[in-house]
Amino acid sequence: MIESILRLSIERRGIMLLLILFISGLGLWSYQQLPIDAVPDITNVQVQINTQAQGYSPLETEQRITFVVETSLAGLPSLSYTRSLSRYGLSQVTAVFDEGTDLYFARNLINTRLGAIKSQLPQGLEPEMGPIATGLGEIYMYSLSATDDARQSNGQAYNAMALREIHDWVVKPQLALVKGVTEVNAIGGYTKQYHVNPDPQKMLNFNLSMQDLLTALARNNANQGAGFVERNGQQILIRSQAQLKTIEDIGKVVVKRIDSVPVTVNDIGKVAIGKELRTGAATREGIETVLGTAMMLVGENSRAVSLAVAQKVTDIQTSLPDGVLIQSVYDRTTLVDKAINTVQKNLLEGAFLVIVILFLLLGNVRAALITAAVIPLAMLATITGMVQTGVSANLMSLGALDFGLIVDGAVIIVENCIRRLSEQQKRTGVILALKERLELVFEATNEVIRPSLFGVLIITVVYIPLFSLSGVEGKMFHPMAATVIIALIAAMVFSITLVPAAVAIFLGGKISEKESPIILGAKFVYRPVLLAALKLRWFVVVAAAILVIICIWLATRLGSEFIPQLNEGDIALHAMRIPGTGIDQAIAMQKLLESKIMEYQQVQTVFAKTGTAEVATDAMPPNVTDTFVMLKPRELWPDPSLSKEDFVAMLEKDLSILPGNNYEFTQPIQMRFNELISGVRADLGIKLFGDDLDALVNSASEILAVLQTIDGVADARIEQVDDVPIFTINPKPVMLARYGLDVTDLQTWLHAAIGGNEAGLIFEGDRRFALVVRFAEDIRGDLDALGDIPIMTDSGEYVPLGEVAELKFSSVPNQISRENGKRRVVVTANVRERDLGSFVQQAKLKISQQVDLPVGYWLDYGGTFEQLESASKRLSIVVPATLFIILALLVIAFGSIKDALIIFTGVPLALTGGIFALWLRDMPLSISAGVGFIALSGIAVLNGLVMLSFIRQRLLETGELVNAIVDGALTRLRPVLMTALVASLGFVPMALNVGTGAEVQRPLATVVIGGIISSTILTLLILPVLYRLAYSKKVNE
Amino acid sequence: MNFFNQNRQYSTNKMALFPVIMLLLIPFMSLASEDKHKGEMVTMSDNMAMVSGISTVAVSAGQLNILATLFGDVTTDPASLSHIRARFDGVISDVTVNLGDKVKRGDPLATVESNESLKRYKVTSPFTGTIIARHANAGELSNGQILFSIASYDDVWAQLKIFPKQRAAIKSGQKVWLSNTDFTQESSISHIVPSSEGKPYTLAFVKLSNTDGNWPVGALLKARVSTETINTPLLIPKIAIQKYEGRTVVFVKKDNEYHPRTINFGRSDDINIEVLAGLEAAEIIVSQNSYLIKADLEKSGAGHVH
Repeated sequence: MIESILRLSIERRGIMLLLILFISGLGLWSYQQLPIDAVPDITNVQVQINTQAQGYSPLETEQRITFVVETSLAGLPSLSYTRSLSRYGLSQVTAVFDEGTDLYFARNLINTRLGAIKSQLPQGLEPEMGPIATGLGEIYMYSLSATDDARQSNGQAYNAMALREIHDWVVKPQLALVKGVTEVNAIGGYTKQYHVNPDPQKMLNFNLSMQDLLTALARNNANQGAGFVERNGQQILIRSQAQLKTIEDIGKVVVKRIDSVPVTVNDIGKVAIGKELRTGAATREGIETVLGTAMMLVGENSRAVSLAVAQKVTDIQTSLPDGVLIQSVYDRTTLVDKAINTVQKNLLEGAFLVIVILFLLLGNVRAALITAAVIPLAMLATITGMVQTGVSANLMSLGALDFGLIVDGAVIIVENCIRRLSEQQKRTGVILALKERLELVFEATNEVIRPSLFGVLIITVVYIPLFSLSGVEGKMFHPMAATVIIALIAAMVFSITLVPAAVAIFLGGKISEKESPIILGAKFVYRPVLLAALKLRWFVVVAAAILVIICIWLATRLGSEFIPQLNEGDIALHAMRIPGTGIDQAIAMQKLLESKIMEYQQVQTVFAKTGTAEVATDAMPPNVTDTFVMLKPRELWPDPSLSKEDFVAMLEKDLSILPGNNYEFTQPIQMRFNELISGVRADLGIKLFGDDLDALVNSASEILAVLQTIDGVADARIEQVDDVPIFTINPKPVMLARYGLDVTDLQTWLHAAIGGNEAGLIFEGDRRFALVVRFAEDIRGDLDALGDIPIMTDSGEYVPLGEVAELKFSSVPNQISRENGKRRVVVTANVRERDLGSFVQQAKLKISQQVDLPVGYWLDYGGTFEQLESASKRLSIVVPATLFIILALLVIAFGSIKDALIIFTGVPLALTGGIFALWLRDMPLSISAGVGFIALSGIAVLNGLVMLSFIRQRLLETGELVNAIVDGALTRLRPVLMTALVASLGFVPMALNVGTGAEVQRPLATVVIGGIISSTILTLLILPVLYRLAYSKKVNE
Repeated sequence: MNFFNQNRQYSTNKMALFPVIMLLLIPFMSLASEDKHKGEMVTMSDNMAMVSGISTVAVSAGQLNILATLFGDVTTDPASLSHIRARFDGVISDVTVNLGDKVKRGDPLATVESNESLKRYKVTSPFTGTIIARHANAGELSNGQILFSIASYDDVWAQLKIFPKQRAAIKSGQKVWLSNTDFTQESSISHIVPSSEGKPYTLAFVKLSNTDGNWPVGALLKARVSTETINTPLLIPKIAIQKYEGRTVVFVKKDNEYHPRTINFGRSDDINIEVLAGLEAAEIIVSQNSYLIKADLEKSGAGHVH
């Protein structure tokens, strides 16, 4: 088959070359469709269901909302699990679906279920699904600020509330229209409200209850249409206007009539613009501000969307009042551009190096260009393939591409063609006729096509184990493996079609093949060394074996790291205060923190979100602040050589002197992923399910005690169940009855007085604001005096609150977590210096013996040990299977197990160099390095294959072993050196790269470069020696 | 600890992990070594304390003024309201005052011609006050009717409701600050009487001077009754008190160190609280923003679980 393809390609060479246009066109079109982002998306398929419930404590939220929502989700198809948290005022249920479930399908299912439970939820509460976005969704953040001299129309300076109003009614509606934006989420300032603050004493004075006030406001704030009449042929609409518009209007509402004298709102209290009871706030550089986040629809191109948002933000600026500024504080474009630049730079420099090497070693510009042309074509074909398979372009997926490696097949073919053509020309002394030339090209190609195809095939096969990774690791590395495989296959296809066709067309005329001085020199050195090695063969083999052993030992001394951290260039830090910290206190602490951070010259700006935003995409309590530290470009740092890690360490140390803050350093995207993926990330997570929170915590403590007695345990702890203080007002029913009240009377009064009751809306044009009745801050804020506040009774008398209710401080859990419809507490532990499996076994046994769980409580063992176990199980099958496939391919190629095994020895030898290079550069073993080793084994096999197939051929021709070996080895010196040089030099830019994304590429490139050096030297020496040893007997016979 | 967990360890190669674990732990170890809370104290420079809004106060002797809050309304003094009739019925021949007129004691109000003696006599004002009602016009017969009502609002009474929980603390003679929404006046409880009609509260009466007319009868008023004044040797502001690990503490400042100190406290008023044990006079404690010290002590436990 291969032969017929080759023949076809050479005969129909013109058509083949036209294919280039087609491939290029397809590639360019695909490039427009290719989703580009900085990092791979590791979010699972999940839907968040948020229900805002003003005034509900965690327990009520759980009981009335979370339970209902969660139960309704049970039994959905493809539902993997649900988890939930119930906080003050917020219920968040997260439904996680199986991988591959269509997100819109899942959301549809949930929507149906949510519709069905509306009647079971307390009145007025609406569960809402979170935005259709993933962890990569927060692509653009901006802040609103005002210059010091800017004034509102009423002459006052812009405060956070005024800015929030501008955001909600001017900025947000415009941004929400940008294509690809699914949500604009605001945090900060206060939503403007109109507040009526009744004075309890004055209410008493006029014998007014809260209900009277609420009713009066509700009944005197409406417009009503009344149809139309026709008058003299004209239609005239009838309308009654009584909507309240201004603070004065509200103040004039009549609440009661005493002896025909109207009592107005002004008589019993004050009307003012008031603040909502907010759950979140935003700060920037130590000043309260309003932050907006544009969230990208899942599957969009983040670069394109954030560019569009940025453009829109510029447009919006013109529609803002003078002195109000909208400023971009986080723009994903920056990171994506940096990432793309890194990849581009690596690829371009790599390609350039490859071309130079080819030219130097082949001594033929045309041949070098033909080979190099494979690079852009393979790239375009890869992009097409990525679009078709739904792989996005990012640092991980493009990070492992090395075009040196990819053109290996083409290099071998072109090299052989040139050699054969020039040999033939030298022999005949004339320029070849077309037919002759075509035949020769076919022969030359056919001669090396099998080893090169097998070689590339083997490199492809070794990437397969990466597909067995699952979960987050899988999501990070599948795209990488997929991209490399696509690129390799594309290059492979090109090398049997386009390359021979191009050679046939362009290498006509006189072939100038100069043995370049480099090759001549190499041969000059190589021959005596090879001969010496053949002589000292046992010594060489033993030395190589020792080298392998040393490197295996060295490998165990290297550290290891599972997933590399992509450097996003910015810092995100959680600033955490103790649970129960109020939002204003937290902001005061945050302002101090930010002004401290701004003292660093490296910092461009700092902004932060405290608590939960309008749309609770990240449900944080007010004691936690997500702080974003945007860094200046490194050139502007006082010391540009300072690494980011060192800077973070410095920051952490300096910030630790600020009282009351605890920090956790991470990066913006990474933080978002953490928030979304959640779940247990310790080695072992024991989930305890049950009803009663106290009983759960008690049993969890017992389990913790047992865990701590087991060898190898580390960082064992119970998931935090923090208590927050609560002020309870427990009605005394008998006392209430004595005054003619009941529990509802009291609670309604309480809700209105302290929390505030909405009594309607105030419209200002398109804008609408809530009209809220609530006691003034100084009254509702003084808990000590709360008991003295009089409540109206039906009879027009009054009674102090303290008389009919018991007031006291107590505590409630800060948050109630549930999973799969049941309350749960998690005990987590990591395992150190011990086999994980046996640890888990022992833990299970000990816990079942020593912990007596209450009836109706059960345990579930989970944690990463499960994933690790299944991953190692899978890898323990997949890795040997892969090795077997490689071996099988080699056996098929040579029809000889012995030869296959000889080639296989190249693998450990190649690995030695990789390990050594890692050790030299002080890098840990990581998956990235692992991918490097994978590529390396492929290259080693490829080299061995090329070398061995020639030696074998010579041996068959001449029958003389040593001569065949030396001859074959010398002939193949050039292609071996070439493939090695292009593959390793192609990686040099990556190995030295310090830009964005370097973390992933550096170990990979380091391993490949180190490995290729060792593998080339060893292929050139050990392989002939082994061949000699393996075949000496046979030939002697 | 997401940051840590993200760098997930490859558990299959335990020995090789060790250096990496150590590397990863460095930031955390540095935190641990700087953990100032082991000895249950916070170290903070005065400058940082100032920037953070922390202020201190010395423990000293002082007076607690314990107040109770009552509500009630303004009523007239029964002695200052008079309904005036004619002594001998007859024809009213002349009326000399009108509604709202201020009259002095003995001022003539009207002249009545007695039916029996046919003599004219003057009806006079019994005290200084204001005419608040007039039912007499010249030519009418008095016939035992009320001719005028005269009231004096120079002195009014506040009638305060004492609900059962407050009953024990309120005694006559206690000082009271009475306020309606605009004015405050100091007075004292003159007497306490059970309310009529079987209401659940008792009534305290307080005399109010109303020469300026600030206390209209029927207006609702709020009363702060000083139920007790206590001189105590150790007094601290209430805002200094925090709950820390289940104990009630204040933070004592020594040089740059702030130590939590468990205290027993006694009674309190609106602002201050009496310390029974745990502090000595002249010790410096944190008053404003004491929460920050508590937050710093407990911060190692502050986390964010997603």
